[in-house]
Amino acid sequence: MKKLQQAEPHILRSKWPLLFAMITILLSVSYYFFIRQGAVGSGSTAGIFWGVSGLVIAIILAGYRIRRSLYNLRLGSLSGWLQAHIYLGVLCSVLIFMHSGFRFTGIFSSFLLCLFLLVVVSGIVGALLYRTIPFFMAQHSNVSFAHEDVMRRFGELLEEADGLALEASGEFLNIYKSRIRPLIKSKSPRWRYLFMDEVEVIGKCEQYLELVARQTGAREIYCLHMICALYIEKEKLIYKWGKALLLRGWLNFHVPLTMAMLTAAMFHVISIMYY
Amino acid sequence: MRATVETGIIQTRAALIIDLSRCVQCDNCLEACAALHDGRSLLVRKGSMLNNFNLLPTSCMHCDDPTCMTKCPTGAITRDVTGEIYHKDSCIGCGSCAQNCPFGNIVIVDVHEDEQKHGLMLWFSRLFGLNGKSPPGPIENEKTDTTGDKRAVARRRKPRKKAYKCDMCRDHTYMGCVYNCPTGAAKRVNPAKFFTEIASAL
Repeated sequence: MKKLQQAEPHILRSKWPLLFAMITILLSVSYYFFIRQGAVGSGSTAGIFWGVSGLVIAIILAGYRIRRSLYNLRLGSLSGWLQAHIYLGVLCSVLIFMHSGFRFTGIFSSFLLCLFLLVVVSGIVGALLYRTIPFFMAQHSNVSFAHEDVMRRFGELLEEADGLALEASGEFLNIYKSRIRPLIKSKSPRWRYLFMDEVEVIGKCEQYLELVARQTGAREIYCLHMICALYIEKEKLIYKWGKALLLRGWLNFHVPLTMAMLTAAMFHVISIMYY
Repeated sequence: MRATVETGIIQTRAALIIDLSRCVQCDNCLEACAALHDGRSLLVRKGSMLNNFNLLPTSCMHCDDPTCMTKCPTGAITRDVTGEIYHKDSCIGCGSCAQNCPFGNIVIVDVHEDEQKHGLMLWFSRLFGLNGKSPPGPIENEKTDTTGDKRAVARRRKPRKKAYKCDMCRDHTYMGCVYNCPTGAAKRVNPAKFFTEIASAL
């Protein structure tokens, strides 16, 4: 199968780190050379070159979003584009800081630089999230998770728990309705789970349910255990869902910020050319 | 290796594996699959787990000895010279392949005509994340009715059953799901080769 050969994973699939390191070293050497000559302002020839290069790279970086929606574009795989997006992003920030001379001068330029800093920081945060969150989501779980099925699964779990509780005694049903059902019914992601391990989340659930178990009669303990399992499954889903939402929510921050930054950069270029 | 034998994927030629420690749930694999297959995704991101990190999603694995192909009453399933197993247009949607697939990777769906949304607007809606649901129906290659027969028109509008499964994007240069995964989590591998290499590396 020809396509299968193309898709085989390569250990050294990316040359971006090496390329990036070489270009950064070259840029640092050139910056040092121009500092020694005493002309490194943003209006100098070198400064303009760095600024224009930075802007061009920033526009290429924005092309990642376009590539993402062009599914059959023969310009490399999307994972290669993401690698390029990350490394070119860092390179772009080096160029822009060299262009600014590592100083905040002028109101609009300072605003633009602040915006740029925010984009860079959000990009770094995003790269970290992309690296860590999927790992935490999959670490302790041996079931597949698809965020599109979460709401349906919540409903199923609540239905199952209700069914089990109805078979128990009236006293247990009251305990279930007042202390357990609201927990199973709640669908909001818990922010504290973002900083917790899945095992910790399960531990917390079990602690709470142990307290409930003390009020439950011996006859209902089996039923409680069954409901406990459903509650824990639901909390596991919440744990993963919150993380999936964070990954999606981050894009809603990074992309508009980048668009605002690029618009401001265009105004910056136009104003420089005008004056 | 034990999991590959237990799940039976060792007998397959091209299994799609999603590394969940890399998957960022961006849905790009599903969207790419839908975009390359007339708006209907042939991939479902659910399935059995090989271990904590490797998911075997619902996607045809192009078996060495495909029971779906041998049990097809109309011979609508065939193997390409490059190894991909695919449905031809002569599929009558009887469901025999779906019943005989050991992995449950074939679905029978109702196919409607004129449900497609194509063109620039679709691309823009995708670009800005406004697409919501993928358009449901695939394109049919039915002949245009030139006789004006109302019954023929009504017959054409009636949904037709058809089997759907991954064809490894045989009409395209690359596999949509793998090519459009931003983190490289989706991999299409020959399980026997891939897991033997991993086992020997360990």
